[in-house]
Amino acid sequence: MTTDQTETILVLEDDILVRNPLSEYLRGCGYRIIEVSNAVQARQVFEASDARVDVLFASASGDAEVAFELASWTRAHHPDVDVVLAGTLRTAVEKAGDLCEDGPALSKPYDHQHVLDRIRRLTAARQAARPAG
Amino acid sequence: MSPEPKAEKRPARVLLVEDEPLVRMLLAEELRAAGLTVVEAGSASEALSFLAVTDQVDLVVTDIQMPGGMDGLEMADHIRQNHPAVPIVVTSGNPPPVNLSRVGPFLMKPYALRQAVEVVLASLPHPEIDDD
Repeated sequence: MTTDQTETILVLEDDILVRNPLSEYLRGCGYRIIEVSNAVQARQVFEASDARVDVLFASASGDAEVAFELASWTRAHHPDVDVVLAGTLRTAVEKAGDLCEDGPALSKPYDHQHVLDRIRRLTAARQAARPAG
Repeated sequence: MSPEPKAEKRPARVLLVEDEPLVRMLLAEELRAAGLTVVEAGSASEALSFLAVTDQVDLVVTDIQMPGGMDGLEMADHIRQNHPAVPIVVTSGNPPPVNLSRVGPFLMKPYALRQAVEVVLASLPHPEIDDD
């Protein structure tokens, strides 16, 4: 779907009042954003042949287990996609332990700048790890 | 006598309600490219949640068939009752329902993005709104 070098972030957040301003902020920083409110929609995006996703931002605030399962599935099926987990810290950490996942890197309320910094660090590390040429 | 201060203008804000994320994203990008602000909602309940906290929605574009308890036409009825000044553009992959006249313009899917933008722009009173 994208032919340029714009990084695409799939933003999974079930609260439109949180997702909308975060997505607007990231668009303003030059990213292409695909917004989804649940894991089913996120998988639809990954399964679409013409969609490219570079980063999954998954909030575990709604159903933490679903978000962590999506993160695991993404790492298994789309290893080139960076995953940023976020959400309500206490419940998410408990679910993360159950699923052998790392806990969320960011907790609500999201500081947009922190989200951006996290995404930039991940994408920079990915690009640095790519073989030269 | 000093002149009256001019009201600040803001781009018109479109609430786009569509459950298919990639369809929604493509139309949202085209509307943004036309100078509009777009809020994306994946269901009627999300859209109504957003409308409950702001009156800065100038037009709604909604699909009819959506998952969850409320379809696009039911949502449109709710919006007409509570926000009667907000125009509503309806889209669907099926032929328009007979009672559509109570809502607004209809866009049959698959629509050309440019055509959809033209319908939205024509349905807006102004592409920029006084922010007062």
